[in-house]
Amino acid sequence: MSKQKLAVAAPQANGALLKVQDLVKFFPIKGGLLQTTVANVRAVDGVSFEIKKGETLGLIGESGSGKSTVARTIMRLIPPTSGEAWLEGRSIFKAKKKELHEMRREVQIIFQDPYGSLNPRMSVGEIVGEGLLVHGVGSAHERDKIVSELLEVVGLRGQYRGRFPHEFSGGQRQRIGIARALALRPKLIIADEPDLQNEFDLTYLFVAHNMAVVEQVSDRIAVMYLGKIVEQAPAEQLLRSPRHPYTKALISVIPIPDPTVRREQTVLSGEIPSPTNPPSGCHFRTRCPIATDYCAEVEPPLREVSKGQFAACHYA
Amino acid sequence: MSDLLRVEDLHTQFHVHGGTVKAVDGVNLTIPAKATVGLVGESGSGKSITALSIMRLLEKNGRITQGHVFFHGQDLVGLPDEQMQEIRGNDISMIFQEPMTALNPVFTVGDQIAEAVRLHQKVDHEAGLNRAVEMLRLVGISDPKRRAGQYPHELSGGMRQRVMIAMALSTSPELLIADEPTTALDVTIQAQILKLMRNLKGEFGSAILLITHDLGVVAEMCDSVAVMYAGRIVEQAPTEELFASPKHPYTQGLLASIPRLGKKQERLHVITGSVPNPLAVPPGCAFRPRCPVKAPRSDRDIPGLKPNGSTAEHLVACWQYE
Repeated sequence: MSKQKLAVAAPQANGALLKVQDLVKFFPIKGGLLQTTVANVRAVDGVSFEIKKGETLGLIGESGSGKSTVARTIMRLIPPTSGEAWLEGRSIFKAKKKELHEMRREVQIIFQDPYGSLNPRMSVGEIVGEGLLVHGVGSAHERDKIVSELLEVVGLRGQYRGRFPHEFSGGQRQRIGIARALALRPKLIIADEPDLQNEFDLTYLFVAHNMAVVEQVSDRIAVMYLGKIVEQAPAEQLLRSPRHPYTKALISVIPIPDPTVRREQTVLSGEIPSPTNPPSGCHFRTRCPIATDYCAEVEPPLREVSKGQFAACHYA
Repeated sequence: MSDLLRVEDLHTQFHVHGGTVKAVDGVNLTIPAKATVGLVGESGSGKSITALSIMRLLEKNGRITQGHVFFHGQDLVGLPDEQMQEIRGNDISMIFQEPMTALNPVFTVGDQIAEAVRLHQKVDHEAGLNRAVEMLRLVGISDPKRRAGQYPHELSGGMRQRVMIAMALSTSPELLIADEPTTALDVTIQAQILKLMRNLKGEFGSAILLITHDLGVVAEMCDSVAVMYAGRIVEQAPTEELFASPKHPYTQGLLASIPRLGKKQERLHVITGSVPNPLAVPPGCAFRPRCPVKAPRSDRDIPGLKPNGSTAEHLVACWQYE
């Protein structure tokens, strides 16, 4: 199956709100006299998934796994190297300016660092209402009303709208970010490491490194390691019976807040290798407790190991 | 009782624009020899300032205004600087969340560990360097000779954390204060560092004061736990006891609010409201505005930390048990 063909076929039929196919994002490293590309950081190296309407997909991974790059690429905050993404069957990467403007209203992102993403010189009312203004929603009076309602929805007082970001605590700023994201009634929210206290009946791509948090909010979880999804399954199933050795190790070392629980931990040795020069074959093999020579030769595909559960391991 | 460290009624204040912040407001805490004691609480509760007060490493605008820090029965508060310098790094070491705060970027990590050893153990630089390489090997750094010649920026976050632990333990301190040592690390690297700390504890026999906001880490690492809120310890108990029957409404809220793996909670319990403004802490119990119990007297008087649990070691500061 060539990527070209996939790009043409808009897969609307199965009802996916978001579908991502073979997403690749390399960051070139320039060097030498002529500033030519001497190497690539293979941040995202062939990622595919879909999210149905009303579903929350948790995308989990450690630093350097590429999870945030996936989120940013889907938002077209950075251009993809190759691959495709569709929002309700419409290509995100091929969208022209006007179409993209519309999509950006439908997909909102909430960032990890709420302070870094809020303009310190704008009042909270202006921040939350900015999207409404940009997209020409309602009159000034109507917009004010919507902003007050949104602030109440996320648990802040409507009268706080005149205040500025620095007057709020980290948690409150996070909520301001959520109110801003909700303002345009988006179809999909991409949440990058948020501290989400409120759940709304929305479709989420939830990007995080904390399994315990991801598990609470997600219907399905995809686990990333060095640019690739290594396992994907319904949340409970993934926690109960992980099949990929990385997922198994990841779950085994999550500190459990119960001193009476004693369990076997799999503490992985070493660190995540550089995405500039990932290991041959299986990317995880250098830290894998069960890797064989075969793993260095052949990259394991993501295959269905039990109903609804996919793992990229020869021995899963 | 062989208490290694006993903090008594410690008060630390900061003069800031707009007033005085009582960051530590009457802390009592004991750490027995060779024990691991967890200190938990939200950011701003005074955990780190408690640690820095014990180490006497406060910023210029901060001052211990009252109380004692007994180490082996000797009060560190008011000890002359030279004597404190002797104890710091030698008998009590500290590691931080961000290793770059403790590591000097312009010296190799080997030189820095060697310097710590040389200063405190009066050996020459070469003996110090040998010790540095030995320590780097002990904390699980492969090819320690080569790594000793590298600068902090050449190492990954997990590796820097190991270097800082190596430096802190190079003088075999009796007490190690670890302030959020794994918070900035990924979970698989956190697991490596926690395993390392457990192993080294066996090897060196140091007591550890582990400051964290992660109750999972506490459950795995600590013999006992102290819970801090608005500058005071509100509860202290052996770890299993605290998790099994928390007494203070704040501890109860904390434990109910942790996401637990494999247990879908309808909605995470959240303690409503936020930590009081440090410039305007309410009278009486500082937790009262957020407290579901609001015991009588808590609006006027600050409750003392007393044994109100099932064992003598379980201390709680709440009027509802009086």
